Amino acid sequence: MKDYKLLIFLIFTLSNSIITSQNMFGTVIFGIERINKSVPTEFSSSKDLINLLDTGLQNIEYQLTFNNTESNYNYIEKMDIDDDLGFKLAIAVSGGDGTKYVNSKTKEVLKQMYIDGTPYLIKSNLENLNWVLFNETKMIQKFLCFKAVVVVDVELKIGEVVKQNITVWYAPKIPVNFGPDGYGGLPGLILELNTPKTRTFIKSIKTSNADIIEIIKPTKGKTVSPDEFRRINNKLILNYKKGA
Amino acid sequence: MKKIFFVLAFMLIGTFAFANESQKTTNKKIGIECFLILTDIDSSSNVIVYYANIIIQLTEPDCLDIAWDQSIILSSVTGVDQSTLFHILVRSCWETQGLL
Repeated sequence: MKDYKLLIFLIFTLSNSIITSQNMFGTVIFGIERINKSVPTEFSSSKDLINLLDTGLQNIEYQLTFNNTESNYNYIEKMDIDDDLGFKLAIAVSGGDGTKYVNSKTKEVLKQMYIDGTPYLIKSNLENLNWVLFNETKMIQKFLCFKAVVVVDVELKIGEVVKQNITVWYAPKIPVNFGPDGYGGLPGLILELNTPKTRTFIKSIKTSNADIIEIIKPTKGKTVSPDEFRRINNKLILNYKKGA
Repeated sequence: MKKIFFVLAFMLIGTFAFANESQKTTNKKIGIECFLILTDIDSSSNVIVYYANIIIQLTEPDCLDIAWDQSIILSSVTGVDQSTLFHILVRSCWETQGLL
């Protein structure tokens, strides 16, 4: 009889731990800020525009929702300020108003972006991100986070691509491969993302083993590679250049 | 198709030469409207983008210059692609000038 009770206890404990380890759902709210808020002297004539952007950034929030294999990253709509220029610029700086979808099983990354209202799905692969992992740690909220760095291409001036370090802090305690702005592929959830000029930081997090979250893959838009998207966008703009 | 766009573009330039301020504003609005319709059709098409750019340069070059400079500045203080910011700044300039 004693053995029978022990067996039931073991089965219950085991099945419970299997269920909890198999299912992970979560919602993270992120904010974005410029790391150095001062206005460079060479841009003092554009101080108002930069201040407008900073105000927009203060009001902006993004939401990352995820389950074990998929995640979506979207900005949280705020109807009263959606038309504000500072808010529009803040959205552009923070990753745009389209959905960023990541599937850790297929390694697929889809970034929905708009050019003058036309949607595009920029398709890439998580494996294209060549992360360098470090032992450096820091606490973010109650989570011990590890540092990782990846180098990406950025076109600060059209036609001039430069390399930029993206430094992130990920929490192995939350064992999903996702993060803000379509970044992922690390052994834990990314809770902070730093570019040389901006910081995407966690405002709140809610995880659960039971509250099922369905992730919807974006389908609206023509599928293009990151290079194709850059070419299309630049082509539209390049002729505007002074003296062209 | 090329001929239609050339005729449209030259009609717009022609009317600018003799137009008063109010007519110029109307022509700018038409130019912007044409540009938006064309880029909405297919912004990945070389031909369409080429003619959309011609029309917008001929009718409303001011906001393009302003947005170009502003997008370089904001790009350098945020580390974001210039092209990402350019579209928003152009539209904002058009809105400010009552053209949208």
